[in-house]
Amino acid sequence: MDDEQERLFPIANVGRIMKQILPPTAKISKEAKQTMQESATEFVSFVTAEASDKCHKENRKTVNGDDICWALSTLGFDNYAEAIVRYLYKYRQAERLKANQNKGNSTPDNHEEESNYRSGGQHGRQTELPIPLEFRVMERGDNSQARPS
Amino acid sequence: MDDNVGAYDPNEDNNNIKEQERLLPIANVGRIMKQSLPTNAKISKEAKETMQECVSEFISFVTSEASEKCRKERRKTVNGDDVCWALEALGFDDYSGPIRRYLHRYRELEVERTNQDRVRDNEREA
Repeated sequence: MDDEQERLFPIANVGRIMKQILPPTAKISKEAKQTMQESATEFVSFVTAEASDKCHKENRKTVNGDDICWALSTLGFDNYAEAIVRYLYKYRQAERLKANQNKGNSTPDNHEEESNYRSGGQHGRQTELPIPLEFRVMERGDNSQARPS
Repeated sequence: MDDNVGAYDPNEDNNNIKEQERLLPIANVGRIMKQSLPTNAKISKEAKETMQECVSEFISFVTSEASEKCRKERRKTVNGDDVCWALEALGFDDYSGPIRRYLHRYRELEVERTNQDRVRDNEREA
């Protein structure tokens, strides 16, 4: 059982996220939760393995957010990658803001660094915040390279 | 997914309970990621949080599709087959195969467990 807990996400958390999407009257079977638990775990392993491969080829030891975005895109999850790039940009802005506040400097740095995934590591200014995370329905076969074990 | 279930809101940081409900635990995300990496590799906090956001949205995305199927078929309970169907419908064709095999194996084990319980109960009564 300990092995299983190591390998999978907690079923209670998976069920809670599923419940938020369903109408209040809807129910989720135990097998549906366990199927999703298995699927989500496989998804993470799959994307991480691809990101890890990139780091290995580039002789880097640390996987970062850009590697995750790149992996999503490479594996055919293009719509995911776009949304996650926006998330990552916003995340970095928030982190920078937090760091500035900790320093006692409440004015955020205007020269934001965009995700390397999108801008090739160049500095750029962006006046409006990127739109929040939103996935669109993919056409069948959009992620045709996806090959989970 | 118009409701942006997975939208990251930095202002929401004050409300940890909401965040915990919306996302899977970061420790588990990190642990599962670690299993796919070489032993000497490291994962940045940013990578874990990016994946945490992504997998939570993945669950929401697939559940939403499964829920829609149940609604159209006037069923109240989402089951494993609905999740597999949703994966296929959303283009995760290659996922649905292994997941269907998992589901089949899961059901076999459940039947086996039920039979064992029945045998145990009968022995107890005898």
